[in-house]
Amino acid sequence: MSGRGAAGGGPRPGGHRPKSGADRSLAAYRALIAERGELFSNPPGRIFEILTSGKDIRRAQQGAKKARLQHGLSATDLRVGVLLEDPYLLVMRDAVRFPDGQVGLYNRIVAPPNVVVLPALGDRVALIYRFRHGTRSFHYEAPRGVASGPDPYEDDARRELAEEIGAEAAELIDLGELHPYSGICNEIMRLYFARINRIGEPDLHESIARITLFSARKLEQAIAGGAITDAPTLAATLRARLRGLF
Amino acid sequence: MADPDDPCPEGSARYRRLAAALPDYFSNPDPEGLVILTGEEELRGAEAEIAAHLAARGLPREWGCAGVFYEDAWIYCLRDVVRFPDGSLGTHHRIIHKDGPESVAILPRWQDRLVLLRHFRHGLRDWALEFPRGGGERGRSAEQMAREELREELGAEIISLRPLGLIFPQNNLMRTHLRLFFAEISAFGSANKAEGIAEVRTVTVAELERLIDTDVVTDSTSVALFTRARLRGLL
Repeated sequence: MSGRGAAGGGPRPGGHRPKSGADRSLAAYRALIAERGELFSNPPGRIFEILTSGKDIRRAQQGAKKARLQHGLSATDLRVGVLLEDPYLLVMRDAVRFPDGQVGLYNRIVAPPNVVVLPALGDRVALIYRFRHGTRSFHYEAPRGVASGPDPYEDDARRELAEEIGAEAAELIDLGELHPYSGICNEIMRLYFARINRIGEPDLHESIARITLFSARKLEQAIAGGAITDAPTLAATLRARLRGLF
Repeated sequence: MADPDDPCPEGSARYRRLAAALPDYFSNPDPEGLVILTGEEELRGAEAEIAAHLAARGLPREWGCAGVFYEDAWIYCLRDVVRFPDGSLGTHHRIIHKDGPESVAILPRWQDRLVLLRHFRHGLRDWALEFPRGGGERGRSAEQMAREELREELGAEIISLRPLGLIFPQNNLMRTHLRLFFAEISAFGSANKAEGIAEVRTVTVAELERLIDTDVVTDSTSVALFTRARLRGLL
């Protein structure tokens, strides 16, 4: 989400330019369905089923209008489709059938995948103390960044280690997936554990103030006591511990 | 008269109003951190510089404009123009929840088992096995929100509730955080289908460890909550 890296669904070539904003949103949505069908899956069960036919979309818009007016909300913008996008983030609104059978609209955010790497130097773990834009404050956390390559994101993990802490991975172990904010966002984080041989300089561009080494005991104390609050770092620590990696 | 070369002709009036209404979210607490540019002259200059870089790469110039990128009844999504500590300029998105930055997640223990919910998550377009979470209501304490979530999502009878501090699920994008709780419960009801919950599932500690280790439980908040409870010696 920072000013570089992979696009969350970049610009798409279009033919003619439709007239209204609503037409443009829907045209971009149709292109996205054709290009990234996985974003629109309807798995079995009582789900929020995505509706894509023109007739169903119009019905869902009417359902949303009625529901919004009942709740005293504005019903002027009932667009379905891609509402906004730039290279890092895409906001869209789907027409859905809710589990109770009602139809309406449901917003979501499409963001690129991330890699999170927990690096170990000998028997200690290296965390960075980094300023985060979302919270406007510093946090202890494992190096992470936007993945631009194909999954598994080993090249991205190695690049983040090199850029953020000047380290090279002698060994890289996949710790599986994590979903940071599944309610409204499709973002996936892939976790790795890395054995490194050295630590270099922290990356100034990334607002990394320092690199701190934690023994397993100190790390667990810092998590238990609340000094470490970054959820992906807690998750990577647990997965690495469960596998006996440190 | 509008300048035809202005990359951000809509200007930043709406963004400025938001910055004035929520000054806390636009603070620059540390010169070592990412500095949000809000001064009119500095912001306009930075937007023009970023627009020129984008144009040189054949990309839309308006991608370099600060603004309220998106707004609905629940969130603002902003695009800030920032200066990185190395002096370079760029844009950075942020999500602000209108109901405030705090919600709750609860690890419920019933007898010697932990209670998880199976939810359909629109963001993922898939099912997820998670601990109860929710809230985000102004004027309610975290403990009140935790009690309500346990009752609403799980129909739980609460014996005790213990706070476990907070976590940030995505600190790059939002200030929104979750206050964590460990709850001992004496009973629970059936799944609240209207909330999109399909199933209530109880597991042992060893079973949950396997579910986390094998990528069945991938919800960041749930894994972090379990980690904190384990390291506090509660499980």
